[in-house]
Amino acid sequence: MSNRRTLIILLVLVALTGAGRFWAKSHRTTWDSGFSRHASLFKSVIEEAREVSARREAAVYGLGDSSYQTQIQEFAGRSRLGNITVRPRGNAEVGDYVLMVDIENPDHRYGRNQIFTFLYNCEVMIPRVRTTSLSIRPASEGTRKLEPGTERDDLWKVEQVTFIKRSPEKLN
Amino acid sequence: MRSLGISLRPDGFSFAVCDGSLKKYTVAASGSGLLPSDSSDPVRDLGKALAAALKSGGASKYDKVIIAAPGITSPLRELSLPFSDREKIMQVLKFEVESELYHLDIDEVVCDFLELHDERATTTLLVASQPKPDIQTTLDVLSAAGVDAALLDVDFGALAAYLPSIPTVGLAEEAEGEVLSLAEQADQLHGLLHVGPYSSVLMVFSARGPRAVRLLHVGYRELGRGLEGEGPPEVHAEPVVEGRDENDLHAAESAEAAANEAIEELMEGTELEDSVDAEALWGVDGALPTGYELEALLEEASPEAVAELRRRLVAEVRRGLLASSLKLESVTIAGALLPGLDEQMQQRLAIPVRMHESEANACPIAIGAGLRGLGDKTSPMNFRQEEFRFTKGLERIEGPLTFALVSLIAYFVLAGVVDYKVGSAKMSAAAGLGDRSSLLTLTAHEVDQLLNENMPEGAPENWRVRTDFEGVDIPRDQHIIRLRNGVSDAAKDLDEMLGTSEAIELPKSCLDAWRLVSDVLKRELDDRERWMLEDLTMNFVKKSSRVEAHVEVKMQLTIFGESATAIGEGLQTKLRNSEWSVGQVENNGWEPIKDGVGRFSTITLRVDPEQGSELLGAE
Repeated sequence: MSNRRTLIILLVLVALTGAGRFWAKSHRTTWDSGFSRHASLFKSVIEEAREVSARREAAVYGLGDSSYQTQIQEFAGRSRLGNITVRPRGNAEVGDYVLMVDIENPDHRYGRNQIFTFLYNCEVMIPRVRTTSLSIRPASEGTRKLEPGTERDDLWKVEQVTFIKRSPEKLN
Repeated sequence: MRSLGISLRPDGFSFAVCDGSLKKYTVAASGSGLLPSDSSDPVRDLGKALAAALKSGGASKYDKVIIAAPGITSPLRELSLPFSDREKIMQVLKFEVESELYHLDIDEVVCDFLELHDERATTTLLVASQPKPDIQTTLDVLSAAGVDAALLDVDFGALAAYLPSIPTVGLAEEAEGEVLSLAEQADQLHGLLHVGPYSSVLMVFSARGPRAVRLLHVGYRELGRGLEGEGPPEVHAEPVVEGRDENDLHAAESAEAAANEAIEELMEGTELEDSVDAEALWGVDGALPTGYELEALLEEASPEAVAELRRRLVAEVRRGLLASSLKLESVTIAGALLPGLDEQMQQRLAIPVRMHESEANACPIAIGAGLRGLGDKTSPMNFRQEEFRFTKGLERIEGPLTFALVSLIAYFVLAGVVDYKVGSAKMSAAAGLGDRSSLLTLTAHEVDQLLNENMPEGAPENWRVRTDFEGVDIPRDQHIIRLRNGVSDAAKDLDEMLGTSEAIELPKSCLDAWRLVSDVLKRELDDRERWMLEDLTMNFVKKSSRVEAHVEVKMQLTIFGESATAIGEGLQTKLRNSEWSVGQVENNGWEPIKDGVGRFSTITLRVDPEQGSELLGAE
């Protein structure tokens, strides 16, 4: 075999191996970024799936008896707020549907986390529900207001909680 | 492969194109040409004639070209060295041969060698020393012809490559009626006499290769002496006394010395001859006409002159053989086939002598040069050394280029394998379908558990999200996209079912407002002084003509410590400067507490949680 022919064969081999190397490089680059994309999608897809799962559960619960009051009572139970009464006002299908919450136990004492977890679950799990009114005061107070700075436990009495569920259908 | 061999002579040229491989080749094209007698510029005219002949002879296309220059001016010396490595020999060659070339300036010649195959244990070299002006003449002729050759050999070097084409087997047996073994045949010595125009070459060889080489300063151009004008006095070789074998050795030695002297005279007399005939190439006798073919010379010359030429040739061959103490089994005559030369030589030497016609009647030297281009290694000589080194073309860089290409291939293969392995490993870790720990499989498994397996009772049937990938012909990296789309579609379906798909403005959330405010309280107060929340009231205020929709937050705070007022005012500033704060932050003054050191105040502010949606999302 002549040197020229050898060089031509080598050049062809260089071209072939170069093309192979280019493909392998792009394969690696594709899956370098692909791995990162999968890692981020792994988190976001699972988060979204969890949210959908929770909303489905709440939705099915609501669909069963068409009662938002029942859902709110359920979430109050989960947050260990005890029995509550929900007084609705307005039409649930049109405009703002106001849901006022009364704690049945007059001597209730809740931690702040309990209260806000209850509010959070209601807002997240019940579609288009927002807390529109909240009033709390220290639970150790009697009828007489405590002096500011008085040492006491971080327990609270809920004076007022109001939710509004806003429907896409507006009032005429 | 097409290899072009060109034999340059002072009176012309011949060429042959060998097509194929060294083992099997054909002479695809051949031809020859003469330098006109009346040429005013022999170098240019010879080059042009060569270019025209190559073009018309179908030899313009070739892969390699080898030149065989006339070796008439190259003194030959035999040298024995204790090593055979070519590179080592080339390092010492000039130094070793310098003492043999007392009549030459060693710096004015280029030396190369041909290895002779004899019985000696040391390496026997036939060293040729080509004068640099003659090399330059050769290159000038080639330049005029438009030929650029990397290898420049001399005629006997090219002839050595032609030796395997000389039929020798059977000549001796035919003559003596004996049958020899292959080993004996391989040891037998044969001769090849190539009769050229100004000089002839006697090459003694066996099956192993060249054994001895003699340059005979007799050529068939001698027949033209006196045909055109008057030339310089004829240079005669030493007369041969036939039939005196006891004096042959002495005669041969004196003949060799005479031949050397003749060469020296030729070379030293170049300047003198220039005045007589400045156009003679390679220092040959300018008085000999160049425009005649052999046939024309035989017709023009007298029978006595032809007989004299034959006699001189036979005598020179015999003298050369005696000087070498070599006994030949046969002699083959090639080149210019003088009628009757074989018979006369056979009669004089008493061995079989044959005339040989090469393939396609091409010049054996040109064919030999062509064969060297096909890879024949008999002659390694190349006189393109020192300042004549070939510096153009692919040959110059083919070594480094080959190394670079092989290195590049190795790099590409290694890097490609590494990249492929790493890429495949990441692909498997990200989207391996059969890999339980791949991100895709984990995601599918989690989605399956969340949305398919834990489906609430009474859920619609179409809530199931597809998490299997069998029978789905899409790129591997699209599976997880498809999974995400499935979950997003499930969320949309849920929104549509619950009527939450439409974007409407919801009331501002007191919960969100408290999350924003409490974040500032923790950042501003937790690390400085003890504090406590005394009271909290939040109300959503609808949009009116005077204010945008917001949440009004009213809280009573107690801050302990001497610097409570400053800390409280700093807190107010922070609250006021928050992006989600709407309007002023009001308070009723920092009053001292009754028991202990500290102050309390009721702070009222308006919060738009939508302005802090980024902060809420980040939590």
